[in-house]
Amino acid sequence: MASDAQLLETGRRAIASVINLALTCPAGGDARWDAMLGQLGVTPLAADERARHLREGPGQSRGALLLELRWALEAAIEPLCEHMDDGYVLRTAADQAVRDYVGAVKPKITTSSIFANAMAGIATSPGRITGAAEAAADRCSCCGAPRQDRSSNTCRYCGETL
Amino acid sequence: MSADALDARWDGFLAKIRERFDELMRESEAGCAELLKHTGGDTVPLSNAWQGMRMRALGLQSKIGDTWSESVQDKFHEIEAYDRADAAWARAEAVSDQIEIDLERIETKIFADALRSMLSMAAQEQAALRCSQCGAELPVGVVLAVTEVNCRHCGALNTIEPGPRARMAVALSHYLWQEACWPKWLARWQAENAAKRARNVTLAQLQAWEAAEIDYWTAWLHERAKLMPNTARDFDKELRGRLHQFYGSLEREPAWFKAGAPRRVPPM
Repeated sequence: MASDAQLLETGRRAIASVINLALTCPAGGDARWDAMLGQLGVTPLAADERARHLREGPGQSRGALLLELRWALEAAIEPLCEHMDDGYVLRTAADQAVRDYVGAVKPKITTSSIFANAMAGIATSPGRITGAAEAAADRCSCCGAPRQDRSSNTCRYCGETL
Repeated sequence: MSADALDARWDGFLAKIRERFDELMRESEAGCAELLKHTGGDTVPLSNAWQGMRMRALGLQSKIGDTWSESVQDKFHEIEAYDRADAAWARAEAVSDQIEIDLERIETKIFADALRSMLSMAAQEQAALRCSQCGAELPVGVVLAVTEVNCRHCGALNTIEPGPRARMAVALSHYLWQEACWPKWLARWQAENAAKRARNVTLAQLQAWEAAEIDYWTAWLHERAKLMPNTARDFDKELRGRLHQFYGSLEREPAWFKAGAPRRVPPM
C-alpha cells in the first residue's frame, strides 16, 4: 500500500498534468481536452453550455473551461484522497491550482484594451449626446404675433390672453 | 540581509511603483484626450476608460502596503532594525500619498478638459442660434440654463434652451472649480491627513483642518459663480451646506467636543 507521501506526490503530478493540458487548449477546450475528460470519466458540458460559459463567465483568453477543469481535477485526485489518512492537503493543492489557473487564463487588462473598449462603446453609449441648443420665440396662439416681454399677460396686437 | 541592503531594495521597489504609476498616468492623459476627440461630448466612454486606468493605479498603490506587510516589515524586524523599519514605512507612505494626490489631480484635469471641450461645443451651437421669428442672429454668449433674450432685429422674446452639451457641462462643472482651486484642495488634503493621522489629535490641528475646509469651499463657490452667476446669491447657505458633513465628522473628535465645538461657520 502506498504511503500518504507517495499518494500526495502522485496527486500533485496528476494535477500538473491536467493543468498543463488545460493551459495549452484554446478558450473552451479542444479534442485533446475532451479526451482527457473521457479518460477521467468526466462528462463535459454541452456545447451550448460551453459557449455560454465563455460568453457570460469570468472571461478567459485561453484554456479549458474553469468548471470542467475543477471536475477533472476532482476526478483525478479523489481516488487518491480516499486512500490517504488526510486528503486535505491534496484537495487544497487542487483548489490552489484552480485559482492559479484563473490568473493564468484571464485576459490581461492593458491600457490599449481599456481604451479600445471605451472607443468601441462610443456608438452605443447611454450618454451619447443627441440634440442641440435651440431658440424659440414665444408667439400669441391667436394671431401669431411674437411676444416681446413678460410684463403683460395679454397680446398687445389682438388682446388674447397669453 | 543588512538594514542598508533592505533599505536599498525597498527604495528600488518604491521607485519602480512610482515609475509605473507615472507611465500609467501619461497613458491615461493621452488616451483620454484622444477619446474626447471622438465622443462628441459624451463623457461615459471617457469615464469608463478612466475608471479602468484608475483601478490599475490603485492596484499599484495597494502593492506598497501588501508587499510591506507580507515580507518587508518582517525582514527589518528579524534584524531588530525597528527605527529603520519606521523610516522605510514613512517613505512608502509618502509615495502612496503622492499617488493619491496625483490621481485626484489627473482625474480633475481629464474631466476639466472634457468640460472645456463641451463648453466650446456648446458655444458653437449657441452661436449658430437664430431668432425663430425673423431668422436674425441672437446675442447669446454661452448660457448654461434656460434663458430669454430679445431679438435685436424684431424684438421677439426668444427662449434659449442651452442644449445637452451645456447641461452636461453643468453636471461636470465640479472639476473645473476644483482645478481652479487646486492649491487650496491640496492644503485641505494635507490638513485633513495631519488631523486624521495624529495619534491624539489636538484642537489646533482640527482648527487648521477647519480653516482649510472653509478656504477651499469659499474659493470653490467663488469660482462656480464666475460661470454660473445665479449661484452667488445663496453663497452663505451653500457654504454651510458644503461644510455640513465636515462639521458632522468633527463632532466625534474629543478635542473638538471638549472645546465646545468652536465652529467658525454656523450650522444650516
